[in-house]
Amino acid sequence: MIKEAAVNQGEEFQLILFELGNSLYGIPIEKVSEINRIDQITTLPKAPKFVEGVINLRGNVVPLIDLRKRFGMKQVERTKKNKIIVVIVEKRLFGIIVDTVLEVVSIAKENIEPTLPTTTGLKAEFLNSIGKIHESLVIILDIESIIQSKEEIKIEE
Amino acid sequence: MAFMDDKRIQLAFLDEVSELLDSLNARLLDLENNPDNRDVINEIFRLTHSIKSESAIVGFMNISNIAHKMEDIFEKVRRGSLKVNIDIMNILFSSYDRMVKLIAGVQLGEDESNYDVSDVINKLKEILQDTSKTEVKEDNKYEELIIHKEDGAESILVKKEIVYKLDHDFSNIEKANIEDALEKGDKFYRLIVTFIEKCDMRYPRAFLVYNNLLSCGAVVKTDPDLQSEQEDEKFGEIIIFLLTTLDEQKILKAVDVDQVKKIEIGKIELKALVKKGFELSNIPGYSEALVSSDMILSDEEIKDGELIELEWENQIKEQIKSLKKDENGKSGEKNGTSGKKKQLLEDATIKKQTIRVDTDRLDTLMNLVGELIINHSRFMQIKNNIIDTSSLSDIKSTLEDAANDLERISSLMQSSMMQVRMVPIGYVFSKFPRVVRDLSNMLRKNVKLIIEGETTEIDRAIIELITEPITHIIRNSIDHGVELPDEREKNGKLREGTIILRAYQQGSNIYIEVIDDGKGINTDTLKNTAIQRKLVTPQEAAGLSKQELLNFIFLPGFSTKEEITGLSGRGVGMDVVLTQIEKLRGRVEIDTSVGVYTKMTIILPLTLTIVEALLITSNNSIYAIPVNVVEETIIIKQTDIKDFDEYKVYNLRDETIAILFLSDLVEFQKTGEAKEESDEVFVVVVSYERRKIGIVVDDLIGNQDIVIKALDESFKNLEGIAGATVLGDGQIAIILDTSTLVRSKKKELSKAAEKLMRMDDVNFGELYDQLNPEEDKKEPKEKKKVSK
Repeated sequence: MIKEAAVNQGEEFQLILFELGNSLYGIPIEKVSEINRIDQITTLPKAPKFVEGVINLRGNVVPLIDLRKRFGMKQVERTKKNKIIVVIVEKRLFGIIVDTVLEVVSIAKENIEPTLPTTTGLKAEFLNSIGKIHESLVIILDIESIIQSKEEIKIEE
Repeated sequence: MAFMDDKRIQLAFLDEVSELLDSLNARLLDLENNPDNRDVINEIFRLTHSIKSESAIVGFMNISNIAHKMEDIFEKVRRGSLKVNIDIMNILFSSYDRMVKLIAGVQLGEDESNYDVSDVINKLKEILQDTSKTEVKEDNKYEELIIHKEDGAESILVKKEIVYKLDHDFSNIEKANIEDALEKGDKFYRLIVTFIEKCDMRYPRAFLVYNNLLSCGAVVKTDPDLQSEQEDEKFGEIIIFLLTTLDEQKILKAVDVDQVKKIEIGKIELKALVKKGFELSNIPGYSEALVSSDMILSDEEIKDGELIELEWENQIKEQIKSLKKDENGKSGEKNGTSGKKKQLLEDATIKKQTIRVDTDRLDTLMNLVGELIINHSRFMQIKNNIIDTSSLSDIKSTLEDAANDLERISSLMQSSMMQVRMVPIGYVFSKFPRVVRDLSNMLRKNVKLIIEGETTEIDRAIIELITEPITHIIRNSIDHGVELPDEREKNGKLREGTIILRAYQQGSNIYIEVIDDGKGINTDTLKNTAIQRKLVTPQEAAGLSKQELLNFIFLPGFSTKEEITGLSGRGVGMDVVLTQIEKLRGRVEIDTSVGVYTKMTIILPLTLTIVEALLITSNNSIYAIPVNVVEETIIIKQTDIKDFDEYKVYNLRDETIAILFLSDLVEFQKTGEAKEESDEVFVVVVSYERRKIGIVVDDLIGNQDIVIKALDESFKNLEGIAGATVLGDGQIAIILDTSTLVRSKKKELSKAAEKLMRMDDVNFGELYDQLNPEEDKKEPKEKKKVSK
């Protein structure tokens, strides 16, 4: 059930690891354009609630999505640890706000499992797969469907 | 990779062929007006030929086949053996339409060969077959030549002609022979010998003709080749190329063989040989041949032309009589043509790709220019900071120079980039002669279309979106404006109505006018309809100005036309036109005089990418409002804003305007910071549906040219948000579309408020006075007038 996009041609592929609430998440590195600190955010009136606003990324107006809001998690005060991961979805740029960006990890193909995580309540369509790194589980997100879906996503913390 | 190349070739082809099709459309229209113009006929022949071969190269066989059949028809028209009439023109136009649709389909990524074109092909074939019947008549042009024969007199049909174009190719040896002979003064003939249908032993007879001709001169070539082909079936007709010094009479005698039905004898002009690559510079008359026109009319052809014209007129008359019948028959015809293959979209049009620059690259460049402008503003800001704080005069001057340079470069880049995006509006206008032709034919009206200012340039982003509104207005003009010929005559007008389509630039706007000399719009009718539909009370209606009455036309579902025609008058129309034009940040104006004219003017900005906007703040965010909707900005006292029901109003120079708060319109979540309650507020007065509305903002920043950046597609549907722009300091300002913003808010407002907005000024003024009896009317302080 591992989607093609998540698998590099080699035996392992790289993930950007980040934290949201108490869980560890990963996005395949080829989907990520850059990581920024949170600067000035312009609110976008009338946009869906999880859209934090827009940011100026070298002259481009890029929408910013708060992943906590997207997943219906409770809001916490932002600190310097909060980061924006800029992802590329069908050639369009989106920023997503996460709690902390940890590191880039290589993960072997055999350590990835398609098992559904019953604990997080994240629906299968938003989930790419589950990875195992040093005994901890990483939820690999299908960031494209998370951004494009209009559906409400709720994660129990 | 091969696939990629194919794609690229196809794209190049699409460019090329859509240009050819445009010309074809224009020439077909010319031909309809001047059916005997040889230049036009030749041009059409050339165009159909090019379309045929170009589309065959890239494998678009459907298009190629249609063009091929059209070429065949024009080959006959050229030779004078076929006369175009209105039936044929209609079929030619529908064939043209089909090719346009096929191209449009290809542009949408459809496979051209999936479509069924047999209906069009069959119709074209019918024309060709019809002419073969009339070709019997054409045979009358053959002189009857009675040559002495041993077994009694038998007639042979002979046609003498001059050959300007050769279909055959010659080998180098043949060429050399011909060139030598011509230099010696020989004449070069093409003979087409046709045997009677029941003719037996055709090959021997053909060989006999050949042998006889050998005594007259040199036979260069025969088609079919007598040396390699010997089967009788192939020799129904034989073409012989002959070099001789003898005259035509003697040649004919030589060809006179038993069972020959007709002979075409054609002297080949040098011009025809030049085209085939002959080296003829030593031959007298060569230079004239080079410059002589392609078509020299023989007396015969001129006579034909006159005949065609006469017949043409008769046919048009008949056609008009039978039009009604045709219309009834059409539905049945449609069912008949629905084949198994896909049907194309009805309103498919070819998208213009005239600028041969990859549009992605163009957009990237445009973005870069945008960034450069932003960068420039930032640069200027740094400069100002340094100048204010530092004493290093050297740095100051260098930086100032650099900044000035940057300003120069960026403004140059901006304007040259704009140039690239501009295309002549003629690309859109060129489709309207056809629209007018079809529509006036259908409605039995006589309409002349005059096009002016087709070189006026307009942003290509706009051009694709204005075709539909203009088409709509022109349809209205023909359907509702221009009267039937009899009616016009009764009113002392020319039977032929005139529609003027005109474009011109004034300042930073493009004006597109559609003027018809028809019956005009009766404002009394509009008034009555408005009252009937309870849009206004009779009292209110009495106070409405002509312009306000005319504006009813733009309301959805508002139509005064009792009889609904197939084209317009259903009431869906002008509101769609207005919505579309407003989307392009333009507006529509109407002017009319009953019985004299109606003039619709579309006013559009030159470009959609850069706009002058008023920057304002509200709730600590910066917003931009395009200045074309801003009437003025004023500072007024809080206390001057009055409550009317639940709504706020303000009296601006005796005009009551509704007051709305931007913070309500954009629905912020309140930031919590308590706004300082000042006794004065800033109000931006904007036009809204031709009335004024005041929008309260926190502060005014000023006017500035901004580069519009579209928001991500997922936010395309945010009502009232037109995009975003990046300011000099890197901040993002959201661009507001106040009309949509107010409109979306209005949905929530009660009907009472709607009524209020429409209410007549005078009446409302009275109401206002009643509500605020002791209010002294003070003139508002005007902070700044924004030029409109």
